[in-house]
Amino acid sequence: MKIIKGLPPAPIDKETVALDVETFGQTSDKLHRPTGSFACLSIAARSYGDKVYQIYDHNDVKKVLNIAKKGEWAFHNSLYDIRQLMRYSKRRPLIPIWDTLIIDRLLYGGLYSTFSLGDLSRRHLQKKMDKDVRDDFSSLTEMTPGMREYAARDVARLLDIVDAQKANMDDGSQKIYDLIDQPAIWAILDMPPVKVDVDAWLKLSEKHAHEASIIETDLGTNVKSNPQVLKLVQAQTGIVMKNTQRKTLDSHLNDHPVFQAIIDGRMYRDAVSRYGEKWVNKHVEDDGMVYSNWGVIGAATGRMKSSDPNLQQIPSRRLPIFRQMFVSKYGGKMVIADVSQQEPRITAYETQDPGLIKAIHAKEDLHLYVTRQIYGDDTIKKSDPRRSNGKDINLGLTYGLTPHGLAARTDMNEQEAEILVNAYFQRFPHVRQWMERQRQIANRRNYVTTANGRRGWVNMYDKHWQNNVINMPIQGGAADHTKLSLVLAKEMAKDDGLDFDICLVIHDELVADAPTGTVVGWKKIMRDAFTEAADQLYPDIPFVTDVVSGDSWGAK
Amino acid sequence: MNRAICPICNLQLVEAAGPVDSEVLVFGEYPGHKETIEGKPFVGAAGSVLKTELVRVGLQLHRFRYTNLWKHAKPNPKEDNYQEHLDWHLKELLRELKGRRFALMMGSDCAKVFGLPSIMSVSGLAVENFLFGDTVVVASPNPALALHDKIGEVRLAITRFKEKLDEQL
Repeated sequence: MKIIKGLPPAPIDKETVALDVETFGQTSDKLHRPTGSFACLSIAARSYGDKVYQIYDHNDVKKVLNIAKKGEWAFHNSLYDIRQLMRYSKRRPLIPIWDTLIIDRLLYGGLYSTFSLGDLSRRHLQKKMDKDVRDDFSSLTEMTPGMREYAARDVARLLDIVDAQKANMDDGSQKIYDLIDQPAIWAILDMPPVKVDVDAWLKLSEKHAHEASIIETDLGTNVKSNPQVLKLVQAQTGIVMKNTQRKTLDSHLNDHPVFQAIIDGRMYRDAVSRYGEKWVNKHVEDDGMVYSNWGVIGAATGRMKSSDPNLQQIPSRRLPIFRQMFVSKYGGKMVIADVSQQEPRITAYETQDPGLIKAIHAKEDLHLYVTRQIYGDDTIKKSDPRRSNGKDINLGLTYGLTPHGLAARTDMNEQEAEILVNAYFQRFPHVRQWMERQRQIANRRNYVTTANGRRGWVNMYDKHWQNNVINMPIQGGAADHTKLSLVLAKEMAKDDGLDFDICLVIHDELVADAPTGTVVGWKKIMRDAFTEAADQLYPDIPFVTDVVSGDSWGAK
Repeated sequence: MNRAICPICNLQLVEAAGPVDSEVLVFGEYPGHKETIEGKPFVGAAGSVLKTELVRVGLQLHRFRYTNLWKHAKPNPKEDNYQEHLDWHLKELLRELKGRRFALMMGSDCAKVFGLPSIMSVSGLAVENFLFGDTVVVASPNPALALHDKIGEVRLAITRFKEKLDEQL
């Protein structure tokens, strides 16, 4: 390998050009932000032979990108490199990208836990990568010979990994990459930050601290202390608990009010520690915005990820009030769109169960329909408490819910639960057949796929594998749907002359920060995007999108 | 059956098993609960993963010599005589390794003892240490990893190990 300082020659048409940016002075939790200073850009291509070109002046970035525009660009974690490159060359490249990180997650999701360049080098090339020099980039401000060598070796390996991946690429993974995951890179790069009402957030945190303090004073106990809680419960109720886990406390809710007080006290204390002033100081930048690190794939199912901070974990059920703190930076409205019963619809598509499909086409409430079927009672109304059991079964069976599990979360005994589960499979026999087929497929080839080809590898030594092979195609299929909707929404916004303002992706939900005057447009775009994505991925299954708008993310 | 005793701590040892003249040694970190009770290496859950994955690539554990770095439960590294303790067990392992052409080394404790950065950074690769002599040693995570995480790294390491055997045997 020869390192050449300077601009590279033009690659051959459509040739893979590996690009790797190194940056000085970055911290690991801010890699997605335009922090640090340019160290070098390394470039490798097969037509360059054993030469790796490097530039050390960011003013040359634009020239390199212009020279390389005939190629297919390869990165390992393109979101990082493109963000850095765009700091120095505003022009957005409109060429195909091969992202080795995303491709490997597509090919081997569920098989491996880590996907660093070093991992890929070891797995694909049987070559270890020393990362000793990497830390120098955060502490030094000038390239040393060792750092040049390190950067050049990285980009050369990247090129070799691309070749190895291309040799292993299958049609399903290629389809998902071309249709969903590659376009999602550009959508994520354009996702704006989300504004937080800091004053309201801090007041809320103070309120939670106060509530916790009142409860703890009232109880005379630190609610987070297990020994103190055990002692308190025994003193007040005579009950000797084995532990103070939530499940245990829940099981005594009807025995004494102290249990609810402990649960509430802990909820407020947790809220203060997780979402208190520290959260604001760490994650809200000077402009009042939160810049989450969104990722194309964060789980074996293909779901997107959010980190630093993880906005997908902002509570929606317990303490949903935090969502009210996320507001429009324009003074406009937050538009929230989510898919109604997304996973049951995908289950219907996957299983092709005539009963489920008929219910969907009849535009019935799926959970109510299933409840009526399993109880054999067409008069059950939406307000009937039995609908909750039907919903649990409808959603739970694809997560491996058993009669035992159903009994534990309802007031049924195990025998009653078993009768209902059996009734479900009797009414919807294709679901059981599909579940069995998934297990056979997993046994045969060690992976299952979503309806559109995203792979999920199975670990047969995992005691939950029989559930995982059922769940992956459903949850992964939902991830495909939501991600493609994001991609399509970006295209539709462009067609309508709107800036791309979708700022949150939460499983089956997209949230747009809509400036005044664009709310109606955004509502249409989001509804159309979900519908169009479903038409492409799950033809003949109607999907329903609920769209609302309000002053905050909490409007829903 | 009388079992040999560790000269340092007097615990019963789980001795190496398999044909003494095998060209291959498979070694892990230390015996688990079941191994300790039965006095045989790799008879527990992790051993079951190992055997299944070996069979998957056409290999059988009982054709190899197999043992652990520690021949009993791992002692507390804070013990005063820990180094002396380790030296004795390491010497036993090296005695088993001597003269064999191939070895599959499993687990992070083994990587540490042989001065490797971490087992995951070399998993599936042939690793070097002067103590290995001419033996080709392929590194793998502890097969128990598959019981609580993903199977890929263990499977990859065993596949690579098989490839090394095929190349040279």
